[in-house]
Amino acid sequence: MIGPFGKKRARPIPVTETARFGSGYETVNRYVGRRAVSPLAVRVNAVMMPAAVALTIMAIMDVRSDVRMWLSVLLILFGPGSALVQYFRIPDAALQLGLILTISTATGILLAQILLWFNNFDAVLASGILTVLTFLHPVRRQNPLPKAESKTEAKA
Amino acid sequence: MTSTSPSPQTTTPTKSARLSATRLFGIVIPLVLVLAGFASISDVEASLSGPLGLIEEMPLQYFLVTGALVVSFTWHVRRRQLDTPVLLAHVFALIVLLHGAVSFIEQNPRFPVVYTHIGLTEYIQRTNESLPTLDARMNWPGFFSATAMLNNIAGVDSIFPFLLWAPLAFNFMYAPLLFTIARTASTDPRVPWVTLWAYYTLSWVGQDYFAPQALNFLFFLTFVAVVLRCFRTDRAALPRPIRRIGNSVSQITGRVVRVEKFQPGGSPILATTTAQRALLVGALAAIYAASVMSHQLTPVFLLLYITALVVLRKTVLRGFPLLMGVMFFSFVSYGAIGYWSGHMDDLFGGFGKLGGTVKDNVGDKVEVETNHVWVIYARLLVAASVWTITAVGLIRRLRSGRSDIAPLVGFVVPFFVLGGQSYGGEAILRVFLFSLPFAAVFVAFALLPTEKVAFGIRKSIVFALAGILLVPSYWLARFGNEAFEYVSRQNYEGSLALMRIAPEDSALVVLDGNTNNQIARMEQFAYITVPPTLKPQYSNEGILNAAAGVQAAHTFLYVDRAQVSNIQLTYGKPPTFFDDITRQVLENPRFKLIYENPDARIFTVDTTGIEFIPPDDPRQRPAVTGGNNTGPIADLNADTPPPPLPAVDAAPNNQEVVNP
Repeated sequence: MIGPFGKKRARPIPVTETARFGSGYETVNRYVGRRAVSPLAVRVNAVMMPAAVALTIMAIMDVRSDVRMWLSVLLILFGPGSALVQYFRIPDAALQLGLILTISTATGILLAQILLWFNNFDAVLASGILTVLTFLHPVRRQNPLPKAESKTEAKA
Repeated sequence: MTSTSPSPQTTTPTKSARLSATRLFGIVIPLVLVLAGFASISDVEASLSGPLGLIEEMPLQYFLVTGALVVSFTWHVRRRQLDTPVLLAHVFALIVLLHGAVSFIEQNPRFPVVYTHIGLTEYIQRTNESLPTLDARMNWPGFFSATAMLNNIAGVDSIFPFLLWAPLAFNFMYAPLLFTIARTASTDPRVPWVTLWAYYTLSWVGQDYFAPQALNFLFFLTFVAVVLRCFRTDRAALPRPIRRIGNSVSQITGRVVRVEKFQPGGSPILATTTAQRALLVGALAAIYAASVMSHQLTPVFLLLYITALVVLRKTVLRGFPLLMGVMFFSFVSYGAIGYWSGHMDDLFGGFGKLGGTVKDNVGDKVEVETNHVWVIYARLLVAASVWTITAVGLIRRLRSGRSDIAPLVGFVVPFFVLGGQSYGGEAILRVFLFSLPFAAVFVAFALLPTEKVAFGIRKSIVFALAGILLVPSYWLARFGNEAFEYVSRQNYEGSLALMRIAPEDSALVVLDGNTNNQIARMEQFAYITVPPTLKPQYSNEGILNAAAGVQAAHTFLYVDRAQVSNIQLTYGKPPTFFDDITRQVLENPRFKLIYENPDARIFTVDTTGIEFIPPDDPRQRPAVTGGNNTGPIADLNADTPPPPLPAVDAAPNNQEVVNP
């Protein structure tokens, strides 16, 4: 099929399955991709990993520049989230992007609170922890979603 | 949601070229309009804003540009096959033109309170600890500690350039989540785009500046998006105690709108495995924890919303409100003890006093004495219009046989906060903010209640006209307070000068709370705001008495444009008030001017020998005249021009004297 700007891309396989959710049963159309199931997060993470390393090096060397400032903003907005969102394996691009931003900033707040309890806001420590989190993406990222169990539809 | 592209075998080269050309123009035109819009506002001076705010200075070309954008968007969204990149470009352009323009105009972060946030962050960054007694906001230090950490990582004292563009950045961040929320409400691919357009055009509340609320609104949208996309259910029966009520409401509603049976609206949820759901629940818990630590109000809205969904059986997260409640009350009980132990009345005093809350939020604001009241009327009108169109959208959906419980709950639940407290007179603003994403969905439903409804010519004209007219109303409602929300570069430099001049343990006196004097070293100063009984005359005696309220080695009076503008708009003071008050205080030898620039003045105040009289003391003379009756205040109506300001004199105690 033809994707944006005339580029070819793999056709998704629509699958209708019945799966059990909570107290009821829902029939849903599932998107089973041929590629990694959080493609946007993978791409963002691919950009953020070297950026995080560069920022940590700049923090260690105490380089003062606008580049360091904007890299730090990008890291706290995209870094940890782009790695952790891949575990959710959500194919929805909009939800992926929102989760990347939120999980990154929430992680930043939680980390800052922990550092506050220890009264230590060392730049190298903080940027190092965020960098480590940015690298915590799943090792295997090409597996498609597992098949859902087939259940008979029941009354809600 | 995405357009269904034809298969390669059936696409002819001509059709493919036409598609690409349409797409190319569809993307380029909004970007060109953004450039044109910014070019048209390159000469706008925010400092010239009057009672109606920044709209008084906005050129007609800007509104023509935004009108063209609205027309272009309307043309693309009503096409049979929607083109995602094109619509994305239009929404991007809208966000930049509406929410990024003011940053381009002012070149300095607006809102004096942003500088207080800088001060709170500076304290944590300098001392590596929080101080709950310093400011109520320090009891929820998550946002400020994260900013302090970010400043350290960035190797700067303040990420000042980001503060300027924070509103634009936050609005970009909201977009994917708003899109997701709208997508859960309908299978119609046009609804999310119309929802986005409606949201950004109607979002006058302006809580997207660099503040905990802006970040927590992102948390709120994410939380709701995940719950509605992954944990929603439409097939669970209501719990027995309310099943009868629910059935009765359904029957009555069906009779009113003449529909026999309602089907649940909304698109299918995202299928997830058990492991995915477990991870998502963990993520929701982490997001809620971050919200609890960084904001007072957002966790309350989230808790109310999820609880309502659980009660109505619209989500499978049955036990989650309990966890949320435990997290919230645990933090308030232990983490925010410094606040509530001394502010029980603030927290619970307004409980049940709906009338008082509405009066604080609406009534008091409408009592403003100048033309500025039209800004408040505009806000009320926009809010009322949004709620009216929301009702229309709800009725149209019901008449088409769809029930949208989840978005309806999202719209209604925020209003319950009004029965809790007035939140410093801002509760209605927050209610509007948190209900707007769902209201925008119903605004889209008012136009497109079902997929089968065509986006005809008449509807397109109505949509385009409404979009064109909403832009000026947005500017009036949102930037109507610009006269006192604008913080000029000189204003900012005045506050920096104050920090350089004032030694530790000084008292800093201001005429009005709308100021940026808390930008650093907050714990080292005593802050005094002239009491309300002194307004609007601001006599020298009253100022000296207020200054004498704190025994400090050094006392300074800081007067800046932000304070003066607020006083002017609220009390109808003349445009010369900044110079008039300066002349007035300098008539008294206890005041000495030691710093001035066009937008900020700093005076030393000698309070030696002055006995402080509390405001409620019978000895306190009512401030019915200007303190010095021969001063410039008494001469305001005279025909003769006022005398020029005296030159800046050398200050005692080796303090800095700076001339502009």
